[in-house]
Parts: sequence; structure tokens; C-alpha cells
Amino acid sequence: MLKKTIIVVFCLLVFDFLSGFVLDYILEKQSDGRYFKAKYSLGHTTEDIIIIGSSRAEQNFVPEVFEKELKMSCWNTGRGGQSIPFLLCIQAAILKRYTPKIVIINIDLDGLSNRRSMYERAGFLKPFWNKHSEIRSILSTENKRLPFYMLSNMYRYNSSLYYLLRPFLFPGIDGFPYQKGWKPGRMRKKDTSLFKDSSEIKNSLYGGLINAHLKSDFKKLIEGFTNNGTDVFLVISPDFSMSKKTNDILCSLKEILPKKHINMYDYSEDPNFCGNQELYKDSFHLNEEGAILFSKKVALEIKKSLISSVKIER
Amino acid sequence: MTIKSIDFLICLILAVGLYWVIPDRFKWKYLLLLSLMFYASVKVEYLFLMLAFVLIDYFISIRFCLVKHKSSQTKRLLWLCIIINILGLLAFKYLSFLGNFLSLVFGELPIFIKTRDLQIIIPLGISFFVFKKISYVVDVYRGVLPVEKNFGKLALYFLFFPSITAGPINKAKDFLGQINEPKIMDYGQISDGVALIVLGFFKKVVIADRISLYVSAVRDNMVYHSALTVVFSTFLFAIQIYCDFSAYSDIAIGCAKLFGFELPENFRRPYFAKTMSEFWRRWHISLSEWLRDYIFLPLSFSLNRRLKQEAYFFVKSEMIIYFLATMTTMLACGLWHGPKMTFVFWGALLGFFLVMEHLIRKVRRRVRKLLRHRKGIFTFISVFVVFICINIAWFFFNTTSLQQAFTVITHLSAHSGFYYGETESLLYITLFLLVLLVTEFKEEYRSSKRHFSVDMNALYYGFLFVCILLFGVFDQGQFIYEKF
Repeated sequence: MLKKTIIVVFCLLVFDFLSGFVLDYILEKQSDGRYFKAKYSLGHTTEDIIIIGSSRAEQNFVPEVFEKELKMSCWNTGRGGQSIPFLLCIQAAILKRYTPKIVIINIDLDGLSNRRSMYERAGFLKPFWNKHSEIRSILSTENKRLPFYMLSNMYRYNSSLYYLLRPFLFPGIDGFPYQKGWKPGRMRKKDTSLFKDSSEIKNSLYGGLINAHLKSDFKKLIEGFTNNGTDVFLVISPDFSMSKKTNDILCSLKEILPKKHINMYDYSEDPNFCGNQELYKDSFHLNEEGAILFSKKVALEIKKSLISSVKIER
Repeated sequence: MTIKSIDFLICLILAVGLYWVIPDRFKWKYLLLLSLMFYASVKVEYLFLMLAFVLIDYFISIRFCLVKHKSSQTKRLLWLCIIINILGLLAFKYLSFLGNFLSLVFGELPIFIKTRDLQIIIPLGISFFVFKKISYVVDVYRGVLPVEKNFGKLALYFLFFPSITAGPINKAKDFLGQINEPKIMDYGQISDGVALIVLGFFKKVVIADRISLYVSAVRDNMVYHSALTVVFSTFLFAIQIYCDFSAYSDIAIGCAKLFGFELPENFRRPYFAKTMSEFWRRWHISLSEWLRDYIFLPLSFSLNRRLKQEAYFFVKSEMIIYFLATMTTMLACGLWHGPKMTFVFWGALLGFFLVMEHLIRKVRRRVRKLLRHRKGIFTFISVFVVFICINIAWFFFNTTSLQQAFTVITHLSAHSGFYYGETESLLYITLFLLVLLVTEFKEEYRSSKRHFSVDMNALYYGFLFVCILLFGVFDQGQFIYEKF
């Protein structure tokens, strides 16, 4: 019985070791989907403009529009459900290789209350643990035992198998590679009930206080770019409904922002978008048409800002 | 440190290794030390409190030996012990609930508001701990169990670390006997223990915690979801709470096996029950047996002695006794789960279903007779009806308040559509529920004499272990029943 136990344990260790090779191979072969985007964002970007944020960044910002308006290359690193820790990982990986000229950060005010939960979500990047040492300290912030767990290849790929295999079955579901990280919001929501209640939902999402640690992480994120001379544009996308608490949260964040290289654009109450169901895929994300219009608006604002800063320099 | 943490697993491996090396006469003392350290790792102050409670039971049970058996003095001592235990439970768990209730009934008097607003940290596993103590002292009083004169062994029974957090509520006579037996390392028992721990983790992190991602997302905004979403979420909650709770029991029983102890089975495929009473012989078996032995039966006997007529107001005495005993037991069961009206309502609803089942038992017998050549259909219908009733009760258990529950019910038709949540999660849930269903179906309906070969078992549990690593949700919180 003891012999059989040892054999079972040995087989499991070997299986774990071999599965690492297989899963790393599948990750490397990704040419589509969210892991392809993460892989590119961490290790291959050279674009002048980088868009970062959660699903609002991913769906509301169209790189092609920014490229056209600003005559610079653009890549959208946005990933749904993510917050500051994920952005810090992206920042660490990008700055290790080069300094982008412009970073557009979509601020998600509802992702600033629960630090532990946000760090847990950044575990999406666990498959890149071996290849990108710069993200390890960030991912282990709330879980000091993570380096021990990551000795297991299967654990490293925990909860990622579906997203690794999905692009082979459903290409383009997270946006095609030519869309440069943008995930078009394809559905136009016809169910009015969710829109009707979205302001109550939104107010409940903004109910928690801003986590002090996340606030300082946010400051670290901004300064990480501005200290390297990158122009940072903070944008608050328009949701379908407005929230009464947006202003309070914004004021709290503005206190910690550096003075140079930073601009903030708040579209949370923009009447051109808010309440206009035709431009929304759901209560929090614009559809394709909405995203293009919004991106044009933001790009023009950035252009004006860049032109005026050049004039000031002269 | 919780039973789900990596710290616990590492400590467990080291503890088991050392346990089988030390001489037999020190083993129970070593286990006691481990249990005390486990409890102290949660909150050291409460360890002393729990030991004080153990001391009370110890002295009272010793006193039973010195006084005439079942005399009025021993009866008074017994009630004193029970009252102290219940008061302890009330003080830690139900004080704010009591304050809330009293302020609702009698108005917002300062003392009720103060009581309602108290923030007391509940000692770990106090509900299970108190029930074990009551069962011990009652069994000693009844003469079913000899008094345990060794304080350490008694403390070990009450504070045994695998089961302190969330059961099973094992009987003293089973456990104390095992302490005194010599322990011989049995690889079969140890591998069974490891297998149970793996199965427990599979049910918890792969199924229960995955489901909770969906269920909690719906629960947070239940009023805004459609009827279909609410029904589906309730169904998933039924699976979640079963997997979560039975997982804990599996891990607890598995850990006990590693030390050569056997704890009683706590779940026996409850959703295959054909009647409500059968459900309670399969769900949280140790709690059901405790409620039966220490509330339902004594209350039934007591009422039987008092209700001397055959019927009162055209209702048979037997029915009155069954109704009162059942409703009291189920209300106590609901209240035991926690200081919330939703739990009390859940208990009351289940009590109502039990009473209704008792009322229609003759009709049920007739239907079974009619379908005697279609036993499969009858079984299917019975299982389905019981499952629906249980889910109705779970709906209330899962809501944050009765107000939310009734608001959801009245607003069910206000919304349409269906909340899919994450496709990934639904896919995993479906896949692993099928694995669980096939396993449980086989356990339920195949011959008990046929078992998997050792190699097939190793393959099966190896597969579960791989699933835990690849698909487990490790970032979720505690076991549901740890809160009780």
C-alpha cells in the first residue's frame, strides 16, 4: 500500500511537470483571445500609445481611431474584471522594455474598494509567472505563499484552460488581433430592464470606501509612468447611468495625483452618451458605434492637449 | 488557520508523521495538544473560555456519580448544565438577534438597542461544541454512557480539531471508546482518509466555490433578476451548500482517519431522498440525530404523557404531538444555524413540509401501490418533489433577510431574461456536477459489494487532485457552516 502511494505521488509530480510543457506550448501558440492579448501586452508592445484599464478600457477605446487622429501607433491592453494590480503588472512589463509616449488609463471607480479581491483577480496573469519575473512581487502582494504554489505547473494554469482553448474554437471572441486589443461590444442591448435599474446597481457598487492601499497603488501606477516622462491621460468612461458618488471618489483621487504630465477627462455625465441606449452594449460598456464615437472624442481632446503643451514649450 | 489553508495541510502532514512515531499512551495527549493549538491559532482567548465550559460539564458529570442516579438532584444538575450551555450559546451568538427581536416587539428601548448593536466575535464552532456538551451530559444522566473521569480525554472529545469547526457532532460513547483503543497504523484507513480529504477539496474548491461565484453575484442584486435566474441560482445554491458542507465533513472525517479515528458519516446523498423525513436521515445526519434524540423524542414522550385524550378539537393527539414536536425541533434547527429570521423561517418551512408529508402519508402509500409496476417513475417523482420542496426552503436560507426574500418573490415577474454569468464558470460547473452526479448515482444505486479496484481508485482520486489544481477556486472564503 505504501509502495502504491509513493507511485501515485510520483506520477502526479511527473504529470504536473509534463503538463507545464504542454500548457506553456499552448500559451505560446495563442494568436487570438485574452491570453494572446496579455502575452502581447506583457512582452511585445512597442506602440507609442498604450491604453490600460478593465473592461471599459477594453471595449470603449478603439486603437485604430487613436492611430488615425494622433498619428501614433496604439495598443489596448484592457482586460475585463481587472483593476490596479493588473495594471501595475502591465506597467512593470512594459517599462522593463521601453517607455510609451502616451498612456490612457480608464479609471474604474467601482474597482477601488476591495484590495484582496483585485489582487486575486490579477491571478489571471499566473501563467506568465515564469516568463515575466517583474510581475511576481505584484502578484504575491496579498498572498506571500504564492511563489510556493507556483512551483506547480497545474496551479500556475489554474482556471485558464478554458480561455487558452477557446480561441481555437471561437476565433475573435475577444477581438481579432488586427483590432489591436480592442474588444468590440457587439450586442446592442434591447432588454430595457437592466438599463432601468443600472443606476441603483451602480450606486451600490460605489458604496464602499476607497481602499487606502489601492489608492496608494493607484498613485504608484501614475507616478511609474509620469516619472519616465510618459504623458498620462486619465479617462472616466460614460456609463449608461450616472452615479451620485462619482464626484466624491474623483476628488479623493485627485489629491494624490502628480501635477506634471497628467490630464483627467471625466465623461461620466456626458449627455452625448449617458442615457443613449443606442450607443451601449450594456449598462457599463459602449457598443461598437459608441466606442468609435467616444474614442474620437477622447482622441481629439488628447490632440488638443498635446498641441497646447507643444505651444507652451515653444 | 482554517482547515482549507495550505498551512493547515502542511501542519497536518507533519502532525500525522509525528503521531505514528510517538508511543501509543501519548497519542491522545498529543492529539489534545494539537486540538488546543489549532483552536488557539484562531483566537487564544476563546480557548480558555471553551476549556472553562468543558470544566463545568466535567464537574457536573462527575457529580452524577456521587449522587443517586436520576434523582431530583441529578435532574437539577442536568438542567443547570444544559441552561449554562445554552446561555453560553445565546450570549455569543444570539444576543444582538435577541435585542433586535425585543426592540421590534416592545419598542426601541435603550437596553434593547444596546443589545442589538453589540459586536461579539463568535467562538469558532460554538454551535457544534455546545451540542456535543449537551449530548454528553444527557447521555451520562440517562446512564447510556459512563462518566469520563479523565478531564483531558473529555476535552479532546469536545475540542477534537477536525470536527470542532463544523462537525460532525459525534457521540461521546463512540469517540471516548476510540481514545482508549490501541492505535495501529492501518495504511488502508490512512489512504481512505487521504481519499476523503481529496474528495472534500474537490467538492469545495472545484464545485462549491465555483458555484458561489454565480450565486453570490445574483444574491447581491436578486431583486433585479428575472424569475428564471432566481430559480436557477437557488438550484445552484442547493448544490453549493451540499458540496460545501459535505466537503467539510469529508475533510474532517478524512483527517480523523489519518489519526486512526472514525467519525460518523454526515451526508448520504441527501438529494436522492424520496421523502422529507428520509432527507433528514441523509442531510447533516449527526445534527438530525442530535435533534431527534435530545429534542424531538423527549418532547414527543413528554407530550404523549400529558395529552391523555385521543383527540382535541377533532384533531388526533398523535397528530398534535407530531406537529408540536416537529415544529419545535425544526424551529430550533433553524435558529441553531444562526441569528437570522431567514434561518428560522427556513426551519419552519421544512417543519411544515414534514408535517404535510405526515398528513398525506396514506395518500402517498396509495399512489405507491398504484404505481407498484412503475417503481422507477414513483421514485423519480418522489425525489423530484422532495428536491423542489428543499429548494423552496433553500431560497429563504440564501437571502440576506426575509424582507429581501419577499421583495424578490413579489418582483419576480418584473424582469425578464437570464443572467449567464461567466461562460467559463457555467461550463466547469456543468462538467464537474456531471462527474459528481455519476459518482453519487453509482454509490446510490449500484450494489454495495462492488468496489473499484485499488488502481481505479488511485486513478479516480488522482484525477480529482488534478482537477483541484487546474480548476479549483482558491480565493474564496470560508466554508459556509464555519459561520455556524
